[in-house]
Amino acid sequence: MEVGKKEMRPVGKDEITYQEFTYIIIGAIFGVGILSLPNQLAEVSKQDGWISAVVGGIYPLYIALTTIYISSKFPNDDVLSVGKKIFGKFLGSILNFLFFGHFFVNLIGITTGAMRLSIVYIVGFLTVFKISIVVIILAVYGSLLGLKVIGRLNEFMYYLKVVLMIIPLIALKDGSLLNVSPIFGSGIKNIVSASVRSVFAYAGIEVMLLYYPYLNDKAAIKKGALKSTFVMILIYTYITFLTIYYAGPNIVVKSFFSVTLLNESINLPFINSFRFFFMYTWIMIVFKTIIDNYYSCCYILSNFAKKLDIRKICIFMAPILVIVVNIIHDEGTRREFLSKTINYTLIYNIAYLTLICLIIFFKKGEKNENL
Amino acid sequence: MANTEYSLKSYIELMKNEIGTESLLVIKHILAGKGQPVDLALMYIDGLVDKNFIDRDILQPLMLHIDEEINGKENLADYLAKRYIALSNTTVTSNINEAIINIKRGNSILFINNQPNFIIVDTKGGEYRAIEESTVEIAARAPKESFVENLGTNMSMIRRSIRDKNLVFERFTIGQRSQSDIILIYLKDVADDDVINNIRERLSSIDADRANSSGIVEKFIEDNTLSIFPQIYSTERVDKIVSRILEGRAAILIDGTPMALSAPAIFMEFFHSVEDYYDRFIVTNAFRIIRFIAIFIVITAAPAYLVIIKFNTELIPVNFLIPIINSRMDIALSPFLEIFLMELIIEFLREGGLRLPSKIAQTLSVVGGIIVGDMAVESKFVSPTTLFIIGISVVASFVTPNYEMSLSIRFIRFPMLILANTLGVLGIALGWFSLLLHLFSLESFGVPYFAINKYRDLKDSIVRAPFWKMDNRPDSVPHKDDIRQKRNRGWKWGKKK
Repeated sequence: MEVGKKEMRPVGKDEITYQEFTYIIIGAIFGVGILSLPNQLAEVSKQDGWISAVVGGIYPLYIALTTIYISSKFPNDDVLSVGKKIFGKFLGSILNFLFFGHFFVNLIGITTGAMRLSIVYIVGFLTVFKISIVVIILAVYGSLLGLKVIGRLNEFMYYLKVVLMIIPLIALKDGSLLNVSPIFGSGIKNIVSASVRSVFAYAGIEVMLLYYPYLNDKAAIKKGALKSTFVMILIYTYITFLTIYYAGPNIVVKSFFSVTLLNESINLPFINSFRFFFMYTWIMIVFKTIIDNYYSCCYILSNFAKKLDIRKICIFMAPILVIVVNIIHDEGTRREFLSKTINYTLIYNIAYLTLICLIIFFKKGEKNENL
Repeated sequence: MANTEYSLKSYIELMKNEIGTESLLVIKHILAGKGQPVDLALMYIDGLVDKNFIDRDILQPLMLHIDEEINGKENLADYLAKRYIALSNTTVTSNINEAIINIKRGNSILFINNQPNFIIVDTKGGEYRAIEESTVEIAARAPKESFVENLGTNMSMIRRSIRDKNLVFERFTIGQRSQSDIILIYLKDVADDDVINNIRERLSSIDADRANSSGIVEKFIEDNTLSIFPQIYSTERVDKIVSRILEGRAAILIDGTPMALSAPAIFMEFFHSVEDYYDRFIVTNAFRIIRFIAIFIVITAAPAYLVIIKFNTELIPVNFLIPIINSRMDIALSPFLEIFLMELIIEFLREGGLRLPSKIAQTLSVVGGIIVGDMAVESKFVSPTTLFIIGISVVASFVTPNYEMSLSIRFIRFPMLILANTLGVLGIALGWFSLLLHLFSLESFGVPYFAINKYRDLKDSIVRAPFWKMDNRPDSVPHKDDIRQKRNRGWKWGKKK
């Protein structure tokens, strides 16, 4: 028996296991968005916010299905090189650059979110500039270590998340079923229009389009993509439901990061605020999300025209991000920026991916096989 | 190096050239046999041999007991070795390189005038330290013997523990000047070939003037020099090395060092002690958990305290707040300086206590522990609470069983403290996070250092499973033969399949 043989490769080699693939996808989504998801949704669909979270799951599900479809035709090429093959090098590169937009907007959203969280909950005495420098240095360090290490990190953080997701269950004892009823009371229209708001929370799912060629077992792409999608939908529904159940839709909308309300029901004997501990742990999870998305951005840029050294890009992108993040750090500006940009990048993404799928579908049997 | 002439003179000339004329080479000329005697020359290096063997079992029979004419006998070297040299390990050869290698290791060479063959006699001796109880790694309920400086003794101790025919001892001679013997030991049918090749390649590529200490060899072959974590396990204890060989790792013994190395190493094993496997199951697990709590305290206690009193005072409950405020009245130093200086003083004491003879060390502990500690508080230099927190973290730092790892863990406190001072609790989170990232990026001989996805190894990590449940070798270390033991409790649950 050759046990452990698969692991016998250098750490830098970017080949990931099925578990790591799944956890990277979950890790890239799960971060800041979830904390403000209940108040975002409850603003429109009130007590039915959690149903909106389920409905919003259509987007990640669509991305997962396109990933499965594209990967079944091109198991060894990520979506960027598929794009280049289909649209030619010049057009493909431009389209890929626009594709990058979504990742960059998402990265900005998460980084500014992390900074905001830190300032609000744990380190009010620090300036935005200091935090941004520190957080981005960490992102560069993590990205330089490569996909394999990021995979391991995500696998570890997944278990931390599970613990952090279980702790708020204590809030169940203080909640009330009246807070979530009547179910469907806010109307189908509101539920659907609220679900569009979950886009930022679900953004990050697109990393599966980039990393599936690195999976050592190509047969597991389908399983990994679907599993991560359903886990995320489940977590979002659960946490939105729990928050609304505990605090009621009217209080939820008054909080910027409403999920933290759940921890108010926990009292520790030797420390005044459990929330502080919760946020301390949570900030590590957010660090991981930043690293995931930072690496994805660098990955797309390194594949822009011809293969560039991803390590150099990791370093060159840092100052740009620091500047951008310092411009859009205020929570109001941040939300405005996100609501103005992410919908467009998202529509572009969906259009681009759909186009790729359609072209692959109709060109089947022609020159597609050796595009 | 071929001898055109097999005369004693040319042999002696050649050996002197190779060994060095200034060295302790001893040449004893002998005339042996009746009638026309034969010229013999016995050579050895003084200090490496046991002279009793030479006098009693080589010289005496050759000089006094040959009652026959041996001049002109066919294959004289073989005849002498078989008939007159009363020692168990003799080799007859004509390869002069063998002679050079062997004489440096304490064997004696008997040259015969005008003969192409000569005899190598095992007369290894010299003064060595006897096998003693380990002083660095003490265990109450475990074998007491530990490695010594003598390579032969060390090998024999391992051999005595593993009698399997697949145990391989591979010899390397490394270091241009020290020419140290290094032995790579592994189980041929268990250890993974890639790992062994990797170790072999790294060992043979060492090109230095000396490789006579485990610390030096370790630095030459480890993966990441800039990491604070040891990536090769070093120990004095024989039983630890034996258990690692049985798990499919390789052991490296170095002549002249009482420390053996074991590779590849994984992060968790540095926190396991031998007694974890010998003591009662539940007790062991309780203590293992305590050990990990201690590690957490070493790294986080002082920084967390700093963060709480400097930045996040709102976290302190009212009952604690008043005593802390009282204790911090009139203290001139800032909390960071206070903690940092106290940590430094503790490190001075530790470093001093390590080097001093035990009698002076007692003075150190009185002056350091009682006078400095007490007076620091009395003179309003530090607050008692700070001293208490530092004291806890120092005591906790002694819990890590591996010396190197405990040093590494202690070191982490300082960057953590600085991070906490500049970034508050974000700094601590950052510190822990980068530590994790760093651990995930490390590897030891192609094996992930801190593998999170080896779920089977949870049987022996922060807690351990009952001994009879650990049926397979650890998954983190690649190996060929997975089965370590089979159903051992059949008598209890019957012979169900």
